Amino acid sequence: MDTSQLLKGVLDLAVLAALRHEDGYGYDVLRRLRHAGLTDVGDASVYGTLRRLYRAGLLTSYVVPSEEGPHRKYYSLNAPGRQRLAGSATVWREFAATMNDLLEDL
Amino acid sequence: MNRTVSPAVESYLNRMRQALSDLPPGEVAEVLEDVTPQLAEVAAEQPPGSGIETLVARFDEPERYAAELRTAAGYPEGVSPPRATTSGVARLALWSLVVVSALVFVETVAVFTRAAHALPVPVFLTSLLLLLSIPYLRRTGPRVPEVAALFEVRAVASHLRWIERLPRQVTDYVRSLQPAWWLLRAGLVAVALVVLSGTSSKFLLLLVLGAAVVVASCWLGERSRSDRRWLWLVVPANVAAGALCLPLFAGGMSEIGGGNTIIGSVPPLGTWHDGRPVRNIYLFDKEGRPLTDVHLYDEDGRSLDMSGTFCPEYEYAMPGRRDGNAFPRPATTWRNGHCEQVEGVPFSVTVPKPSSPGAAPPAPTNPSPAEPSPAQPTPTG
Repeated sequence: MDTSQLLKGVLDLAVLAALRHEDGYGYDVLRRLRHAGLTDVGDASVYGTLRRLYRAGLLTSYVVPSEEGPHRKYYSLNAPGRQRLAGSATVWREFAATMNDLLEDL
Repeated sequence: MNRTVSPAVESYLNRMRQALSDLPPGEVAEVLEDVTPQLAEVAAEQPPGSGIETLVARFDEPERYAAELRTAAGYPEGVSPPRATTSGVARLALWSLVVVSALVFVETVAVFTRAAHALPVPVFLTSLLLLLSIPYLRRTGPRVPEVAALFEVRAVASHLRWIERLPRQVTDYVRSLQPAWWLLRAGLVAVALVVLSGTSSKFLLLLVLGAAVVVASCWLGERSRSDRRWLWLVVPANVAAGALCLPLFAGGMSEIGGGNTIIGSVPPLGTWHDGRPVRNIYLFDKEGRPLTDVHLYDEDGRSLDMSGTFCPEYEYAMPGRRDGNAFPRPATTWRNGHCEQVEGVPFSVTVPKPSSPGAAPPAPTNPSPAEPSPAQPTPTG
């Protein structure tokens, strides 16, 4: 099964979760997701998702100058973002448990 | 967009910008800012001077990359041709707002410290500049993205990032004070308009104007929170209200709290009664006989000095004399082109009998104080 299809539904949740402990700029978030095992995640989809979450008011952003390269725009979870993360995590766990039950005997 | 990126990254970003050009420039700038660090890192691994090909090999064509990003970000599908650059218009709108606000400040201070009457040229310029911004503001979105994308705006904004990192209680509290400011500025503007209008029925006018201005101020405040285009009206208005605050502070805290303080504290000096300057005081005893050489003191025992009604040359001759607290002062009159000082009381009064409680206040019986008569007590009561 193509994991990129599965990813589409949970990319919001994944990005929110990647920012849960520490603020990060776009490339940071991408690397965290890859490092966590989501190797199929597309660069552009992560950047796009960050913008969508930002415009939905779930993230705030601030710019940090960088000495060796272009400045970096950090994103951080705000209160609505944390609420959304908690809510989506619950939905995901229930969904995953249901799927696991379905697949138990395999 | 950043002098530290290589030419290859620059041209990759330019093609992305082109592909996203139907979106608000501010949003495009934000997106490209997110994308740039990764592009720069990949480009940095290549030998210097290498072209866009390595980036295309790694990230796909910029147009495809932009399209994928567009889908993930939920931007509308873009097919419209790229718009002509609007940053020039946006910059004009921004700087006209800045200039207008500065002019409004200077004008307000000038008019209300009586330093000058409204200067016609700045007033004309102010209106013209604001009008110039209207066509642009009608075209742009509520967040005014073209202005937000200007580098001067972004430079200022990046210096204000610390505000976002303040504790939530602080920002929430400050935000909760906003409606109070809307009311305060409405009050200030209403009072200022009443003072400027110079009508006699001040209270009624203040009531009507005040109600209208309060409604407008709150509506504008609420609207400008979500639709930043209203800032082109709100910022100059706030600056005017802020400038109106200055005489209040200058007037000293002791004057705040009394009946006409806001009006009364605007003129810098002198004695005022019901919004009009008092230049002389006439005193009568209970028989209606005028009193002379009476010395007045206020509740703290300070002598109640007033600028007198002396002839100019008299004042210049004796600059120290303003003239103590002895009343009444001589009246001045112009005769044959010369200022003359006339001693005495220009009118007589009828003092009501003490046996009639709630009697009307003493009424002057000679309504033409412009023609002072010699000191002749003419009690009619």
